Amino acid sequence: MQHTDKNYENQINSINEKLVKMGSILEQQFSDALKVVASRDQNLANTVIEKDNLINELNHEISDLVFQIIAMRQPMADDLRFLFCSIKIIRDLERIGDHLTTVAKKGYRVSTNIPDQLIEKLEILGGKASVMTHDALNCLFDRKLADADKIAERDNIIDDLHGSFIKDVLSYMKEHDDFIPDSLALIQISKGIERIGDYVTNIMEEVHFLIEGKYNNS
Amino acid sequence: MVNAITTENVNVFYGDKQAINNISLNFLKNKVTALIGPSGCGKSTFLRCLNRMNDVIDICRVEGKISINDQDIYNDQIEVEQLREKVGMVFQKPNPFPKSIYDNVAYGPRIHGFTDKKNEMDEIVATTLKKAGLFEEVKDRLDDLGTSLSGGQQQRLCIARAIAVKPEVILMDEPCSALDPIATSIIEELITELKESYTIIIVTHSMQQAARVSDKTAFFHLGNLIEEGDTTKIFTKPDNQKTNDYITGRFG
Amino acid sequence: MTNLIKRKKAERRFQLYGIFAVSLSLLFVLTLIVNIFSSGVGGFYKTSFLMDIHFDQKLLKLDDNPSSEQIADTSFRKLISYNFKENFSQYSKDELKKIKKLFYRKVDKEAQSYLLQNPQYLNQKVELLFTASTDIDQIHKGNFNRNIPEKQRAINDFQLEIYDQFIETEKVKSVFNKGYFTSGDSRDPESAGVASSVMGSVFTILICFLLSFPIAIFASIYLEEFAKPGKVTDLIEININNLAAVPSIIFGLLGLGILLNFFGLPRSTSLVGGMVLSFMTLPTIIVACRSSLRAVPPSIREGALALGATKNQVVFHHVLPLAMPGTLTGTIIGLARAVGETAPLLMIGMVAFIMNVPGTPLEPAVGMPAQIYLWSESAERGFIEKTSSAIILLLIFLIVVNFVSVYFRKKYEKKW
Repeated sequence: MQHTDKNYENQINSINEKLVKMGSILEQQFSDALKVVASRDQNLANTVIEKDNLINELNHEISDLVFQIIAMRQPMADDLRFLFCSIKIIRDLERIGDHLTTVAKKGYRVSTNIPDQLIEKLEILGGKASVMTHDALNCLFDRKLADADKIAERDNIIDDLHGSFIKDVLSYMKEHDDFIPDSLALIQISKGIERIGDYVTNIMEEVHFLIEGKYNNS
Repeated sequence: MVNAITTENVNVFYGDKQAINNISLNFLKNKVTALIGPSGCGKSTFLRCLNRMNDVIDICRVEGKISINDQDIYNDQIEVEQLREKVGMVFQKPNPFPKSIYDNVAYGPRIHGFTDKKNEMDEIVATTLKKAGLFEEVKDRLDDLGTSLSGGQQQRLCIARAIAVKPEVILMDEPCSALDPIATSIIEELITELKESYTIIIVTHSMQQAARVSDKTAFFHLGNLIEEGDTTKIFTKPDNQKTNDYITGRFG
Repeated sequence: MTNLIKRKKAERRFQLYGIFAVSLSLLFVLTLIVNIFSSGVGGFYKTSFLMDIHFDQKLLKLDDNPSSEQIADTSFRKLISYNFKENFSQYSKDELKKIKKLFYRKVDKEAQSYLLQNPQYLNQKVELLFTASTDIDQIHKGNFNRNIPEKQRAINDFQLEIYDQFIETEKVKSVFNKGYFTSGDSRDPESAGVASSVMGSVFTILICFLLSFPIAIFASIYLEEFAKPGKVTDLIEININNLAAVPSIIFGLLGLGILLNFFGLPRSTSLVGGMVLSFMTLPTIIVACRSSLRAVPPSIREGALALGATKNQVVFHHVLPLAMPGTLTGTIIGLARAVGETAPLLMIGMVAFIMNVPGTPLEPAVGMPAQIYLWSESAERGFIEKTSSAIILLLIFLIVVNFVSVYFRKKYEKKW
């Protein structure tokens, strides 16, 4: 059902649209950043770095709109929860964006003589995180908590994958002295992706609050 | 948590038209309960059942049980004047009597025979005006006409008038809708103080007022009770979608 | 823009019409007042002649230090004849008769009342004022032209000569006519007064007010606050509203038929007059009272009810006081009409010749309008003046009734 006040309805819809846009840019960033890791394409990396500005802009736009609505509209119930969660979610999305930028930055500088298995493992890690992000965003936009628990589990998987990747990099590093700069880069990329998983978990907590009106204590 | 008023299966008819559909709603003692809902939803009608003010309307028929202290107030044995001594009312538009401020407050105690002595009545008037937060402003002009006060002061005078007879419950029908924001917040503050001593039931059009002032909120729609509960819950996560839509301004 | 100029011009014209109409009516009112005053103000004065009178004890056949009863019993005629002879010794018997005619024929009674009030005058010679006859009184006041041929006058030339002499010797005085206010009706214009009609009107209006006001208020309260809406109440309402338009003489018939014939109440009394007028005034007050009651906002009633007041308390403590200004307005209108009503009083006999001033509403009386009518019918010139004086008094009476009512209305008017 629509708000009687059309302006108010438009304002809420505008926030929603911007969130959706933010989400879709983010997903594109994710896939591009992973491509950069695979292909070391500097141009693509630059594109990712540039596009992060869009995410930051959207962050500020949404923040301003939310602030205005709170001041002028005394939002209640589902509107209030939506606005309250939006502020927190855009923070998380913006940080995800930053980490993806780091992934791209580090990704294209990594030298080409890194063993393929490591890259593949990184791709798997990245892929899982990307899917997790996608599913979480769907929960937000559809306002549905389906498979919410599974998303939390997936973060554990990502943590584990990250843990094992670090081990692999370290053991490779022990055997190859000149590999240290690359190793550091790889570790940073993996760390970044792992952090993204944490942020997505945060987002899911907010989505839970948005739909249920309370945080998930489990 | 004790109930000051309990209502069970209340139905109200104006002639053939049904205005209240089978409502059962309890009101906790020394708490403020707000009744909200769009125009014509029956909240004022329901409120007026609680002190039998609907009796003056010939075609109005009330069915069901409304009890105060386990006594059905629609029982034939009940004297309606005594009921109204226990359950006072403050109206939307301030309606002080065109008498002096003193006489406005003293009228209730006089007709219920509280005291004959002037000094005791003076005491009652002073204490009541202090409780209503009006004494300091009018103590030097108790003989002035009640209608010479400002809107907010008049409403506080009406509240004083109501509490002068020592009621248990105070019913308020949109008490601030005719007042400016400052006068409104003075009265809201007063309501918060008064609930220490009285049970307050307030009908309001303003969701923000209900949110500020009440402990419990009940949402009415087309004569039905849709939802009732703690005010915080109603305004952050109501159970019923209709409640949510009304509160967020999606209809009403 | 021209539309605005047209409108303003039209407004200006309308204003001028209004001012013209008001001025015209003011002119008429002024003419009326001037007319009445000029013809009536003379009635408050009477012409009197100064004359020496010797209260000879022997002629009065009185003892030394006589009691009031003795003075009241004895005849003063011989005394007056003697004094006239003494004062006008130079004139013949015939002429003396004519001179006597210059005086009010009850000269002996006037002398008697002087002595009653001043017993010390016994055996004294005192110069006292005696009322002139009505004919010379009118001439002195200029209401009657003395310059017309003798045959057309009541006062002949000789009498005029004497009168002129009196003027020269300063024996003619215009004194305040106290008797006008203290005596009842009389065949003689000299002694006719308004007292009986004023008291008659006062009692009548008082009875009318005391009966109609409370009954009207209680009836209005019943109809407005307590009666259940239905056919019976509607019927009562219609009838009351129609009563206000009934010609007043019908109420007179009602009084005649029921009060006089059926209940056998005394005819011609202010009591019955008051009762008849109250029938007439009731509907006016009821209509005014009901609309005032209706105008009291329901919020006042609700406020009182919510405090636990009973219905009666709500009505008598709150609604009725607020309805008072409007009710009193209706009462003023009703009473003002009643003061001037004559037709219904005629039917119950309040139009007789009343000499004695009524002391209670149970004595026969006459109302001021009826008295004015009776005097206006009289052929005597002296009564014309008295009629106008009575009209002035009636107007003053009306103004007083109005002011009293307005005072009470202002007293009860409160802002709400």
